[in-house]
Amino acid sequence: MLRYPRPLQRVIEELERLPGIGPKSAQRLAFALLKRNPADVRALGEALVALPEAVTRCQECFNYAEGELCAVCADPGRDRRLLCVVAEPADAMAIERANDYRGLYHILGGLLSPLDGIGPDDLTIAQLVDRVSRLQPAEVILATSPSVEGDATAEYLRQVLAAAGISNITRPALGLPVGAELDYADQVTLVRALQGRRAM
Amino acid sequence: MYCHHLRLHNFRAYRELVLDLPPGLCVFLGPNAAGKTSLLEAMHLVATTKSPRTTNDAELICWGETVARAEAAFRSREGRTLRLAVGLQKTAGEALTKRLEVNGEVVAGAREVVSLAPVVMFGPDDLSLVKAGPGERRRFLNTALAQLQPRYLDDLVRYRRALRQRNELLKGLREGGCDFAAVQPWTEQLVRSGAALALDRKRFVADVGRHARELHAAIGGGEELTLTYRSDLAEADGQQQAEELFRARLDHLADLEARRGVTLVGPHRDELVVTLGGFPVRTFGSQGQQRTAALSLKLAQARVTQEWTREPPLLLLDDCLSELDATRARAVLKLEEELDGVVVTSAKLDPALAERTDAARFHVGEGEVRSS
Repeated sequence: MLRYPRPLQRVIEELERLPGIGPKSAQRLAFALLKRNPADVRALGEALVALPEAVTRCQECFNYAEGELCAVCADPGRDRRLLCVVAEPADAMAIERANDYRGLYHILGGLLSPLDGIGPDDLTIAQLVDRVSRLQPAEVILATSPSVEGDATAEYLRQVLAAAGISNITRPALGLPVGAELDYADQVTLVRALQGRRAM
Repeated sequence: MYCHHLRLHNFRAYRELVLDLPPGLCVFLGPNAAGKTSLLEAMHLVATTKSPRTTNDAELICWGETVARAEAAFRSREGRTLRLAVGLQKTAGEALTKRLEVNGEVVAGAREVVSLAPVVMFGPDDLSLVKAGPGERRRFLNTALAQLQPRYLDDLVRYRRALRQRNELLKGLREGGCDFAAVQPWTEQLVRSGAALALDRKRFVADVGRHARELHAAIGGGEELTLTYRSDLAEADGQQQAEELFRARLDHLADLEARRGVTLVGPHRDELVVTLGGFPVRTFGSQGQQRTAALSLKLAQARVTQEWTREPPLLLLDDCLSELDATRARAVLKLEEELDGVVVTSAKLDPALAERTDAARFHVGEGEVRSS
């Protein structure tokens, strides 16, 4: 029976362990690597080897960082009276890309989900409480997703933060996509946006 | 709403089928197992994303094939055309992919389809609507309301998710794993979506009950048919009041929930009680009484759909007229005057069908449908 050479087989097996990569994709990627310029493959390998040690967690907000603090926490120009709580680093990145928010972040590292065995102790909630008591921000924005888990996590944080003496806790509005015609908005989004209407 | 075009590819016994249908009454005639029900099933599938006969979509694919497709075009009362399609494909292993299309564009989920083309179907299995346990009647409420209100399905999905998460915590609580404060955020999610569900169901049952009583009398049920929405939240009016009531009920049972490790209050325990002359049909009704009651419920659903959405639903009646005498069958078919499309299947041309010379008749057999 024909088998792949062991080094190739090993790469395929390692790739297969990544999320979203099945046996076929792993094979395709491994072959693509073999066909590439060896220098490119080595560069990829070196980048991968360096990854676990080069990328750390920010000691303040738990976003990815190089060194002790992430770029946001290290930036003296950021507004330290504003704190935005998100589930994952990718969420903070999405808000950053919009280039409007000038406050700090706090990365929870996930959302509460008893079914997946994730409770408050598995997230950076104790650290958040510690942080707000030090920073005393004027506002804490709970920007978890509007899913059941995101809403429940926000509700839990609201209680914990209120107990810690934070009075100004906000949650982003659920709304219509900007620039879209009301006609084309999906009906559930439209209903939720109406439920969240505010006085003008 | 009526279905004016149906196209099937490897769907059940149909390799290829293209069928044009007129508005009004359409009758599919043919022997048992000829494939009459599959035609109604296909219309139901594209409109609701679900088969009325099976939860295993793989069964819909023609034996030995890997791909199937059902496509139907509907015309609304305003004259707008809506093309809906469901594509099924068996992939490696036992997996099945289901693709939903609206006017040729792929959409993400059932949520974007179910309220577009309202369909009401009644078939032999629907006897379980009054005969089986309360879960079957909650399913009736869910299916009907998802078609009537786009928001309902979203609330239902959220409610079920919050319920599972909360039960998981309560189970841990029983085993001494966490404290009750951790349950509260999930209670809040449960309360919000649950209150919305209860209010929708209450309003729907009131309207369906009114029409079901009238229709039941018209199709010859002797005793008076009544529907009662039995719910922990039945007496609440308005979202805020329903939420407050739900919270209070949960508070009241907090200790018991912690001991049992499960949520004991809420719409997941709702019951729709159907009585005839004051007695529950489920336990006291004869087979015939149960069938007439179930049929009345479905016909009432059609009327409420028309009332709430201003769009008459497509009514699909699968093999149910033969069980009724001519007078009653005639009364059922008379409903066609209020609707734009009624599709009926039958093994034989019963008198009530034969006298409807305005109906379009089709003969069904051996994977073919012929106009006659």
